[in-house]
Amino acid sequence: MKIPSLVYYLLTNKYFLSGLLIIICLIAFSIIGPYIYQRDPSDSSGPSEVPPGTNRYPLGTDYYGRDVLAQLMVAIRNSLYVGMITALTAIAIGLMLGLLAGLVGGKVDALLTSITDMIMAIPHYLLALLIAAYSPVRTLEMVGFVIGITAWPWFARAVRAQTMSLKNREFVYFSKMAGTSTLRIAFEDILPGILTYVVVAGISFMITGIQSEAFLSMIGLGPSDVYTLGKILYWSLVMDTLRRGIWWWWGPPGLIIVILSTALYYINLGLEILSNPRVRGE
Amino acid sequence: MVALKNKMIKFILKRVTHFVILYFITITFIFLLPRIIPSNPLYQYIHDISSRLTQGVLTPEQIAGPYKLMIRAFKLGRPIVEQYISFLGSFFTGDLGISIRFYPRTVMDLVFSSLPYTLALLIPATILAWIIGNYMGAIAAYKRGVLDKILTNFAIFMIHVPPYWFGFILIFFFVINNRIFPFGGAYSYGSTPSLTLDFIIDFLSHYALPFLTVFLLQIFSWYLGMRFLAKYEMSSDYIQFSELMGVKDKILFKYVFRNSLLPQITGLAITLGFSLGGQLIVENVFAYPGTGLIISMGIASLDYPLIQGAFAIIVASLFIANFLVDFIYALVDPRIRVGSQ
Repeated sequence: MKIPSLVYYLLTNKYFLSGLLIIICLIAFSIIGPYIYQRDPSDSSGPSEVPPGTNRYPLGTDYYGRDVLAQLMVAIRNSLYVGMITALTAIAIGLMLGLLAGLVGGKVDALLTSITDMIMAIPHYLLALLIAAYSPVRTLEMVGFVIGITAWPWFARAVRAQTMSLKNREFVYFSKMAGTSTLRIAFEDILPGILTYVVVAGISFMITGIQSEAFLSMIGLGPSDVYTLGKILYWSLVMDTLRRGIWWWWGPPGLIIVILSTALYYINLGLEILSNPRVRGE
Repeated sequence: MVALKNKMIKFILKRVTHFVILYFITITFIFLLPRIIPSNPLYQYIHDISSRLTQGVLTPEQIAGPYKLMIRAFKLGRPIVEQYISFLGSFFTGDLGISIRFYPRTVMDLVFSSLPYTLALLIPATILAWIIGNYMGAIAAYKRGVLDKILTNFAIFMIHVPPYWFGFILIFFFVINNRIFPFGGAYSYGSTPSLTLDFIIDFLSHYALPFLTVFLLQIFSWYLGMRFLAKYEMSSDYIQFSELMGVKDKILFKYVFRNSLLPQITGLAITLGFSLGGQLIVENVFAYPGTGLIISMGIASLDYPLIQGAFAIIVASLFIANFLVDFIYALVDPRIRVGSQ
């Protein structure tokens, strides 16, 4: 598939375009924002729980007098970072096991498939919760990693299925006849064929990472000593903002979680057209 | 007939063994997890607890008591094989130990005494959402057009709303801004559970918001699933052919609906099986006294016996739900029985 036509199809897709635009805006907000809006998110010298709308505090302050807007900028970056770690971890594990099971087959396949099925029987965030409960120190990387090592099974299963169907194609037979190693077949023959799918799965895992980080944080097992979208929500819950109607503390982070996830989902919907044979020019 | 019966028994035995092995591996995992993480969290934990129990009065004699108690509870002084065997034994006989947060209540007692609340919340919400969501999904897929587009985009937005945050919003509008519903607990503070009209009304008014939180959000995930399945069914040859033949809309819709329903039934069974664990954060937000609240309180104070016990119970109930699904399928569809041989 030629690159220009690929770009054309993607950029004329409404879902892809709107998703991408929202993501770019949010990333710009969290990266360029701190240069324009220079406030220390941890500065607790301000007055407590100022409602939004003032010049000094556009989105108000929290119980400790910290600026909510400044917290959000850091939090979006950190939440996306957790999502990325989750995606990388899950993609690495899922690709490795899926390709191995699909290409080697036999007993290896049977073993890997039963492991995958077993982990899949338990909801991934419960497993992540159990592991996180035993971790004394939780960094952003740790939390992303824990979510990643529990979320991969469906992807491994899909990679295995696609590998099985690809490995019976002629070009793979030719590679085998030429004496190419299994590892090289995996990377040179199979991987390019499922690349779009890997990207789609990676974006799905980012959604999983962002949402699960918020889940773990809300239950008190989130990353320690940093701002993430989930941690802001957690502190607002701990400080009983619900009963007191301090909506500007819990409203924005939750809304951003929803917008981020929906935008990533839209990008995936757009990427789906790439698996359409007519678009691929086959 | 006898052959069929034998096949069925064989099938059931096979599935039961499968799930028992899965449970066995899960318990092994729960056992190994704290012991393979560097810095052994269990030792650290026991150290923390024993110092908390002695309230800062740290004479060696005073620490020794609770410390020994904890060591004995986890059998940490013994060889690892002995620890493992006694751990396995207790998890298979249902003895899940004593909670630390709610000392001296047992984990079993805690989970099962809070279970009625959770089931009363999640089973009606799930089933109702399932019915409405499936119906909406099938109609949207069948009718296509603007309605489908608007509903689907709204559903995509809604499935990404974290349930607890949705609860925050409902509380904000229905408790803080307009005092329609009370907030916190399953009934007003000071009233005792009874079958009087006053109490039932009081319970229902507390029940309304957590119910709406779970119910409204779930509709959209069932909706999206059903819409996808029904769209796939609509593209099948027999539906296309019937459509061209001019079969009535009502009949056609019935076929599409019925034939897309099977995966959704599996989904329902698994969701119901999982409801034993409650809605961890939603129950916490509403202070609704179900299993979810108990477990999240246990997590907040790192009550390991409670966490691992609850995990084992949830996993066991999930496996039982999975088994029941397999069983029902085998009853309904003979191909599955044969296929598994």
